[in-house]
Amino acid sequence: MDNDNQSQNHNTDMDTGNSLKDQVMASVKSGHLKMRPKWHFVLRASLLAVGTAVAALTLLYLASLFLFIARETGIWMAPAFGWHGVMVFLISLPWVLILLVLLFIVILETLVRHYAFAYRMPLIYSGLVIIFLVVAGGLLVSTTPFHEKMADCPPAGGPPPCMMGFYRDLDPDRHQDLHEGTIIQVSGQNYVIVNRRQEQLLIVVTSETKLPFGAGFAEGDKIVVVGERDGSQVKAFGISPFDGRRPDYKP
Amino acid sequence: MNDDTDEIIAIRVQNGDSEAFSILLERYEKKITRYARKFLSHPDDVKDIVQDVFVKAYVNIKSFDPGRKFSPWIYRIAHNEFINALKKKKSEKIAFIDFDVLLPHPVASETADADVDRKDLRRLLDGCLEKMPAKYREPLVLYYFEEMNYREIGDVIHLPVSTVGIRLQRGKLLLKKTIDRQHPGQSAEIFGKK
Repeated sequence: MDNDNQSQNHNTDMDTGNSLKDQVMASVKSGHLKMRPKWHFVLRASLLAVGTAVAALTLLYLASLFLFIARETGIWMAPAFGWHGVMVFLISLPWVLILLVLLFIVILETLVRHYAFAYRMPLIYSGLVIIFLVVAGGLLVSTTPFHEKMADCPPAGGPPPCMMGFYRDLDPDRHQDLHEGTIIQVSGQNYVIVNRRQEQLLIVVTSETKLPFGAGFAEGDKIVVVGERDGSQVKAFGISPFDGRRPDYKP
Repeated sequence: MNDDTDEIIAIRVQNGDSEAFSILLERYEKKITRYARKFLSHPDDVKDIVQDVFVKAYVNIKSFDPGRKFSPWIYRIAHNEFINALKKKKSEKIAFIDFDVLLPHPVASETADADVDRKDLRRLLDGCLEKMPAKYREPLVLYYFEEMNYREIGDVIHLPVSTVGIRLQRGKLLLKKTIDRQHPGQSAEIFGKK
């Protein structure tokens, strides 16, 4: 029997009593009011704890995936090339993933506010604690091979979750004007790189190309290039080394 | 007269001694009714709402942790019922999120001189409470009428202690302005003490 029904039954009993105490006790004695069993509350507390844990783990997964994608695609390097780089950076960010991270931060915050340790502190403190733990946990997970294994696909594609869902954000085609790959040939001041799709791209370096971290690239180096692609040629607006950790592609 | 603590009586009820619930009813009926009358701005259905508080307390008594104090537990049930009643009436806006909760506030700790003017404030509050927003009215009622400390109020309303402090501070300021409008000079007798 739920609370509302119990209240209604109780109100029927109340017509026969005088004081509030008499009315409530009459309902208790008549059996209209029944205590909820202990397991009901244990179950509710457990569901809250499980819900909080699931939200925390999902958030950790999403945050670490965001950091992994940002690192593996070299998005972080783009703003170093000035306004053009900043625009490429903003366009290339995995916004759906970012929005989901924010949504789960709100969900987790809402769930933990049920616990005394959280509601006793200002919202901004508990929010900052969550953000700190998510960033720290995300960085930790992103350094493990977890996402690499999830995202590592053979050239012809593979079974799910290979390049499915968020892992598609690793696909070079998802990033307009942002190209990352491994140098397989140095040709004068230009470079030939191979990207994740095993495509060979000629990176054309001009006097306008920005090289904020230097130009001494050699075969085997991983670079991220901002520039417009025309066929298999990219006129580099900026080039930077990056620390993607996924195994190199064999040309 | 039963000398057992509320917590011991609650354990008896949890263990099946339903009759013992009448002792808790006796102890808290007046307090919860006073809380309801002062917090709710529509006293016509106070009796029904208070009755529902005790019905919920009995139904959910097994969720009470005997390791904690009983008083905040039943006041928490009352708070939830009263907020629901206010929402149903739609007579007052209850904000989903309050910016008072967002940031920490530097609030002076409770002091002895706060108790000195408690009686006078209680008298003044009686006439002005219904003109105040619910978010200030409730901590004022719990502090001045139910004589709870900041921490206990925080546990009832689920607010940080600093937010309780800032709401009490702002509530008192609002009270002073209201009194100044209604009875010029009277507030200085009370607030001037500080």
